[in-house]
Amino acid sequence: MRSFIKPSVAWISWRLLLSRKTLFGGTAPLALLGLILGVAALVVSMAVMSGFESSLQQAMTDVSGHVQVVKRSKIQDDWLELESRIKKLEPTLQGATRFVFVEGIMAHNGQISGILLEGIDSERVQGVLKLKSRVKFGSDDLSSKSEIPLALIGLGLAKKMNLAVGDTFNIVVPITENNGNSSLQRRIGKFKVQGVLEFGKYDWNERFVITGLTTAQQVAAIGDRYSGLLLRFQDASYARVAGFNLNSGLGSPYWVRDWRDSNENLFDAVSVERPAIFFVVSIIIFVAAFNISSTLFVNVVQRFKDIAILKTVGLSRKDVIQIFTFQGLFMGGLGLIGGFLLGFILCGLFNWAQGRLNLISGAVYRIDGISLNIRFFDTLAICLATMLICFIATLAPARRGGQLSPMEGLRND
Amino acid sequence: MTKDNIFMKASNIKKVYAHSMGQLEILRGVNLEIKEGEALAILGSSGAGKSTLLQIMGTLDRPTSGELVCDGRDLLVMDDEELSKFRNAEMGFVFQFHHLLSEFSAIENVMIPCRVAGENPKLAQEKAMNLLEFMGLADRAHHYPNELSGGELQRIAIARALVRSPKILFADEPTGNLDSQTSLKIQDLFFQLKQEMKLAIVVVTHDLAFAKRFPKVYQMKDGQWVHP
Repeated sequence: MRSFIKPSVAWISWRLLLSRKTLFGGTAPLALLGLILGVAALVVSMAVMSGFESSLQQAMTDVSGHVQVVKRSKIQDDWLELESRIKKLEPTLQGATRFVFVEGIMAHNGQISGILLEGIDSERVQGVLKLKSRVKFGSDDLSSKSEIPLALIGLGLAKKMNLAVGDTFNIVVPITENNGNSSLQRRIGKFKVQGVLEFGKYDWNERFVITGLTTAQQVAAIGDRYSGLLLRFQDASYARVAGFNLNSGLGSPYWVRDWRDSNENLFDAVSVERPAIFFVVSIIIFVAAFNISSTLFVNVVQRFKDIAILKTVGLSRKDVIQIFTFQGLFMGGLGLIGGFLLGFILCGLFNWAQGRLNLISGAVYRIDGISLNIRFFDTLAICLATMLICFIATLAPARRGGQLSPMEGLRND
Repeated sequence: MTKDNIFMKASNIKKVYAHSMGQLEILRGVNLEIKEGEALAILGSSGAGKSTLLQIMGTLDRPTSGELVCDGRDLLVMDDEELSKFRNAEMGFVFQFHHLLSEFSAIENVMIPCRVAGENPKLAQEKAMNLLEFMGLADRAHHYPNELSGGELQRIAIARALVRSPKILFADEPTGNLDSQTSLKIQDLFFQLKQEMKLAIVVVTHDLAFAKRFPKVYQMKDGQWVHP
């Protein structure tokens, strides 16, 4: 296979590149800086987009599993039988646990706050949810023996209600009766904070309280009833397919939704915005690449004599074009490496700053923080786009150099 | 090579430039035959067309019309790639100014034609060093052009022209930018090279004394030969 560039041409190009006339002089450093900034901007914007998406996905799957099967009515069923039906429909099922949701009010030290109490099967939860990774203070262990039932609360709720690990609080649950009256009864449950968790979503952090399934059932006085099952599969990306299959397989008594469903609009918006932002930020790279183009043009003009003499010793038009294309691509590569380095530094600074300056407002963005994520696909796209743009930008100056007749260059004496 | 040992033959070479005032005829049907190993000088005043003829014969420029055959090959039908290879293998050029690449050391400048031809870098370096030794510049091999004198630079330029052992050397005012003493040394070098390397030499010069040292001298005026 013939190589893109002859070794001798690469040697000449490299030596000419590392001179004051080319890389270290004139407008080249500024053009390079422009490219570095453009690539860095693209890296950071893609990292933010992907980070937002993956942070939200991680929060959803850690706290609510990959798929939720929710019972539409108060049907009495055997949850183990339901689990085996699900396993038959979706053999890749890794774990399932019951859950129950109860709306209530938290009361502590004269303060009250509306909460959502989730009861989970503490024996099976480890295989489905990843609460351990979300613990900020205390632990996620709900099965420890304690006189007062244990609970995990969100970070925002802990701050708002001034609660710390070991503190106790009450939850008041309103209960309606099926007697035609609209009267309410209240039931009160006392809980002890076992752990304070960063659930990853603003509204969860502000409202979520997790406790054992039996405790939640007792507080809500619902006997052995449960709201549904939380499921985990081998791969989160399979959840949509699994959810679809379960929806059609289980039928109308059950409502199946995957982790993406509850934030469909957000995820859709990210999918649409990602290429748009990529294109818009790429314009910076276009501008920077054309700076490189003008730098190469100046370089070609400055090197008329050198090009002429190289042609007299046997370099062809194609070789000369390759010399300048190589230089342009090398500058593109340098800008790419510098841009990625700067991008990583900026991402690090962003990570540092978001913890201290509250850069991401949970009330606005639904999540309190983004763990920036640079995906392989984004990296590949940035590399290809940058090198392609740089290649296009080098064509005109390289062609000018190639077309130069030896006499034109030697006449400039 | 023909039976008469004619290495290069230029026939009825014309060069016309379009000009705002009409056409400017630089060469008016010039003929020239160069035998293998022959040395000749072309004399003429500025604008006579001698440099243009040399550039056309060296394939650095194309004539408006005419024929140019070298080593049995028609040079005017070759494409850029073929011509480049031909120049690299068969021709050497020396100009009034040395035109060495400032980013390359003396030895690197000399080995460029070998590298362009795809020769092994070590062998190319060896050949370049041998030539520099022949030129008495071995100790200057790793110096850069800005560290060398005018005479040294011109000798390195000659070494670069000869490193591929061409069959013909074209020199356009090779001593025009040198003082008289250095000029004489370079002139001597040309004749020494002719003897040792058996190459044909075509020199364009203003310098009558230099031209007279050649066995064959052509004089040009207004784009054609002046017959004695």
